[in-house]
Amino acid sequence: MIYAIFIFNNKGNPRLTKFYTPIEESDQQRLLGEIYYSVSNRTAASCNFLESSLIAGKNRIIYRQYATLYFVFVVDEGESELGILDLIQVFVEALDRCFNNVCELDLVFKFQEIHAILAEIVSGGLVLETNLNEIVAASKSQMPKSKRSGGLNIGTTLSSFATRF
Amino acid sequence: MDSKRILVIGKSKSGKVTFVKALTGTLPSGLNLTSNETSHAGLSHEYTLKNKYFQKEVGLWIDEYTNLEETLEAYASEDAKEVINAIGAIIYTFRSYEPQEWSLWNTFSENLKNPIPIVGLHMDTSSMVVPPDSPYLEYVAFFQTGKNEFGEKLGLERVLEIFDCCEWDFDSNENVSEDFVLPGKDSSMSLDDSELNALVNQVKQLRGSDLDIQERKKQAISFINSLVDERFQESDLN
Repeated sequence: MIYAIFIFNNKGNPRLTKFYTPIEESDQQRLLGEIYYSVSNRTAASCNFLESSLIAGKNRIIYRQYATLYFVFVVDEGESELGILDLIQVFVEALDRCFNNVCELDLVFKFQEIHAILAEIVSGGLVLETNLNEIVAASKSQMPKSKRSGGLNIGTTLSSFATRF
Repeated sequence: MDSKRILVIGKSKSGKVTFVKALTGTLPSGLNLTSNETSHAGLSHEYTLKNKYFQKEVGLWIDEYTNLEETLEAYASEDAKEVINAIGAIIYTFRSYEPQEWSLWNTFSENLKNPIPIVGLHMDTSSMVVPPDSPYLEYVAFFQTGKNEFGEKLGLERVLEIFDCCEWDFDSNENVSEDFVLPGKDSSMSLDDSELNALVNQVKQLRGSDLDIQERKKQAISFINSLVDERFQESDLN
């Protein structure tokens, strides 16, 4: 199960927070701070998986950094780390396709669309869909027509995002 | 213009005006072009921040220092609180990297009540440095262009990206006095559960009692008097 999904920038400002398990608001703030502190202190050569006990006993923090944004999934021991790592890539590519070269401002001003895209991928802490084309098609059908992006070349979208390992 | 400002600060000849010219396309008014020795402290300029979501007129303040420690102490003092609250981002320009200055900026930023993005803008083209990582201070080499191997923008584009995500509006809550207490938040006016239960029980007893009407009226008046400060009388209802 996925307990929580976060996106925050390299200054620690949260751009998306989604919890799939009930947590007190004060604990949410503390959790975000601790995860940011753990993740931001890691070097580029460090592993993308962290063991933690921040939520509901033992769990894992799986993260990837794209430019100045950290995408963090907090999962239980039943989830595959490599699978979640791949899921983060699917989520980022879905954002990139829906927003045409997504940037941090899109996360700030289009948070409803971001949540709608995420809801196509994860629901109730469980992975719903991993096919990128299905996710993008479902998300775009929900977006207002005037704000839909045009057809995108996969090569140009991925070139705008590099991954750190 | 009622948005926060960008503070551009550095030593003399550290590239402050070069940055302002590159950012806005024009030089600040009041700049003395005939002399290279004139201090740039106190100059101001205007900049229009534009992106696909908003457009904002943001003012630029230029300041110059000879002793960074004293300058940062002044900015951190209580007298400068309003100035700090009016700043949305700080650009610290330098030609040669000095670890002590970098450390002073880190300490200054750590102690700020509301964090302000601070960019250490290296204006020298001939050398690159790798300062220690800091959550408060970001190093940007001004003359770099394009993106690095991680897809991060470089140079002036990175500075613009930082500006896009800064808070430029004044938070209305910042001006609220800390001594202000909302009515009803005072604990002496709040009722805990036991007091509330006692009141409800009194009302129930009065309602269910077998007393005659005059006696019940007296008890009701005495009950109301216990709730209000003034002496309540039946004639007050008219």
